[in-house]
Amino acid sequence: MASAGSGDEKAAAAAMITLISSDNEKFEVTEATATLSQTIRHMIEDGCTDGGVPLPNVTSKILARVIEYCKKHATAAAGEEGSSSSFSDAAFLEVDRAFLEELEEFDDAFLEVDRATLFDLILAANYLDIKGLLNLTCQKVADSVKGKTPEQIREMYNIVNDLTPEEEAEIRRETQWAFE
Amino acid sequence: MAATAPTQFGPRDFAKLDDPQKMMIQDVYESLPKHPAAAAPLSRAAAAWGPSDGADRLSILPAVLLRNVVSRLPAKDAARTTVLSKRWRRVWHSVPLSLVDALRRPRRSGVQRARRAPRALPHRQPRRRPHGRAPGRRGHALAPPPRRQGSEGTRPHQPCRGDRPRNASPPHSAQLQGSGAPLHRFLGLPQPGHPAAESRVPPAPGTRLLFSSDGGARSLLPPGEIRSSLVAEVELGYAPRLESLLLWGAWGPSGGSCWIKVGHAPNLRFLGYLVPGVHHLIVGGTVIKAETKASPSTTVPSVCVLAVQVKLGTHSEVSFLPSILRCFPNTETLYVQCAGDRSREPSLKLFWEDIGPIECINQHLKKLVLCQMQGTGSELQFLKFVANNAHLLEKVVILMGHECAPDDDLVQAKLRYFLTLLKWGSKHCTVSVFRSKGASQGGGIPRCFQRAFNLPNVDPFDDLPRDA
Repeated sequence: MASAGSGDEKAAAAAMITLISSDNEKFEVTEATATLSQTIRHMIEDGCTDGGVPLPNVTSKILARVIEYCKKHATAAAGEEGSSSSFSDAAFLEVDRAFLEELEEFDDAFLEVDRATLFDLILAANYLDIKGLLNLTCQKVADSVKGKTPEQIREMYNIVNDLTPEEEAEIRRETQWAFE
Repeated sequence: MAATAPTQFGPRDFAKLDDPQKMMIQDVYESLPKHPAAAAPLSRAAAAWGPSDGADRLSILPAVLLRNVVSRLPAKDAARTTVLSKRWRRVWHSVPLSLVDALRRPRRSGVQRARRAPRALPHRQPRRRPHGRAPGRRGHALAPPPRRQGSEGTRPHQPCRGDRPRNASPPHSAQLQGSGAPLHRFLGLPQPGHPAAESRVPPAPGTRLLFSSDGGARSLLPPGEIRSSLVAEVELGYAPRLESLLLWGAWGPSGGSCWIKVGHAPNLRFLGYLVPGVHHLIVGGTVIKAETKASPSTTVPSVCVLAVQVKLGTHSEVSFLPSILRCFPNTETLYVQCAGDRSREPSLKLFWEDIGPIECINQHLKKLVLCQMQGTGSELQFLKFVANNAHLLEKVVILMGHECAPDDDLVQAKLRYFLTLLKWGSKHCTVSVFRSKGASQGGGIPRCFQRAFNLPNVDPFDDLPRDA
C-alpha cells in the first residue's frame, strides 16, 4: 500500500500496535491505522495494548482484509489533516476529488469478495467499530437486495420462510403498497 | 421480450453500434414495461459470489446490523423485507425510514443521461448511497441524491473541512430536466428504545422531514397516508438543507415529553405543530423554558411559518408560548390550533397583559390563523394581544371549532362584537371568520402532510377555505 511512503516522514515516531487474530496470527500496524477502529482506539487510550491486542472474534483471514482497508483509509484521514490549513486553495477541490475517486475505486475492489467473507467483514467492522467499513459492507448488502422480490432475496441468501401462509398474507396486506 | 434474442447482446456489442442504432435500442429498452420489483437477474456482483453453502448468513446477523442494512433501502424495498421470515418481520418496523423519491421519479431515460452528468463533487464519509448505485458499477445509476429544483432559499453549500455530511454537488443536470424535479426528503419514524429515537434524525440530506404519530402503532406510509409512532427526540443537529419540520401528534413515550433540538438548520422555514409543554425545545443548546429570554443563540431566524397547537386556557401549555414565539423572531405566519381546550383557568385572565414585546409579533407577523377556536376568554385575550401589538398584521383568519356548533351563531356574534372593540396595531388588517367543516380533531392535518409531500415551497399548513 502507498501508505508507508507518504506517512513516514511525518510520523517518525509512529507507534506500532500488534493485533492478534483468533487463530493467533500477529499483525503489526501503525497506531494511525489501528485507531480507525473505535474499539482499538479506546483500548489505546486506556493503555491496554502492551503485548498486543487480542481479537478473539476475528480470524486472520478477515483481519488481514480489515487492516488492508484501514491502511488505505488511514492515509485518507492523514491527508485530510495535512491539508486542512490550505483548504481554501482552488486546487484543493481537484486533488480531493481525484483522491476520493481513488478511494472509491479501492472500496469497490475491496468489496469483490464472496458472501461469507462479506458477512465476516460486517461482523468484524461491527465488533471493531469501524464506521466506514460498516457503512461500506452494509450498503453492499442493501444494494444486493434492492429491487428484488422477497422470493429472490430468500433464494439469494437462503432465507427460510418460516411464516405461515396466513401470516405472510397478512403482512403483504399491511404493506401492499410496497408490492405495487 | 429481450431475452428471446438468439444471442446475448452485451455492452460491448452495444458500443459497436452507430448512434441511430443505439438510440433505437435505448428506445426499445425504455419502452419495455417495468416489473414492479425488478425481475432482473441477480446483479453481477451478487451472482459472482459463487455457489453458496446453503447457510443463511444474513438473517443471523445481530439485529442492529439488520436494521443498518434495511435503513439503507428505499421505502418499498425496505417494507418488502417484512415478508421474508419471522426474524425479518420486525426489522423494518424498528428502523428510521427514509422515503426516497426515486420511488416516484417520473419515468424517463434517466440512466443514460445520468451517466454523462458530471460526477458529484467529493462526498466523503457517509458512503451511503441511498439512491442505488448498482454494486461495483461506477456511475451506473442515479448516483447523487436528488436535489430540489431551483435554489430559492437555499444557499449553495460551500465545501469546507469538518463539514461532514457534505454534498456540495451542483444540482444534477439529469434531474433538473423536465417538470417533476424530484424532491428528496426523509420521513423518520423511530420507535422509542431504538437508538435512532434517542439519538438523531439522519442528518437530513433532504429538504423535508415529517414526523407524525397517532400514539403507538407505527408504519410507514406511502405518501399521503399518515400513521406512525412515538418520538422521544427529534434532533436537527446538522440539517443544512432542511426546510420543513412537520409534526403532528408526536408525543414522547407514554404520552410524555418530546425533545426537539434545533442545531444547525439555517434553511428551516416551516415548523409545526409545536405543542408547548409537550414539545420541549432546545435551541442552540439552550432549553427553552417559560422564562427563557431571547438571545441570538436561542433563535432560529429562518423560520417564517410557525404552527403551534396549544390550549390557551391551560397554564402549563400557554406559559411556554411567549418564549417559543421569541425563538422564531422572523415568523410572518402563525397558526394556532386551539383544539380541545376545555379548561378555564382564571389565573390566565391577565396572562397576556404582562407579557413584554415579542419580536415576531411586533415586527414581522403578517398573518395569524386561529384554528378550532371556541371563543373562550383566554383565546380572545391572545387575539387581543396580537391585534394590539402586531404592526404589520395584514390578515387574521379564524376558524371556529366544530364543537361550538350548537350555539355557533351566538359565539360568532360575540366574537364579531369583540373584534369591533379591539384596538388594532396595524392599519390594514382584514379579519375573516369561518366555521370549520371537518371533525374537531384536525381533519386538515393529514392533508397538511400530503401537501408537504406534493407541493414544495408552499405553506404546508395553509389548508383554509378558498376565500380565506
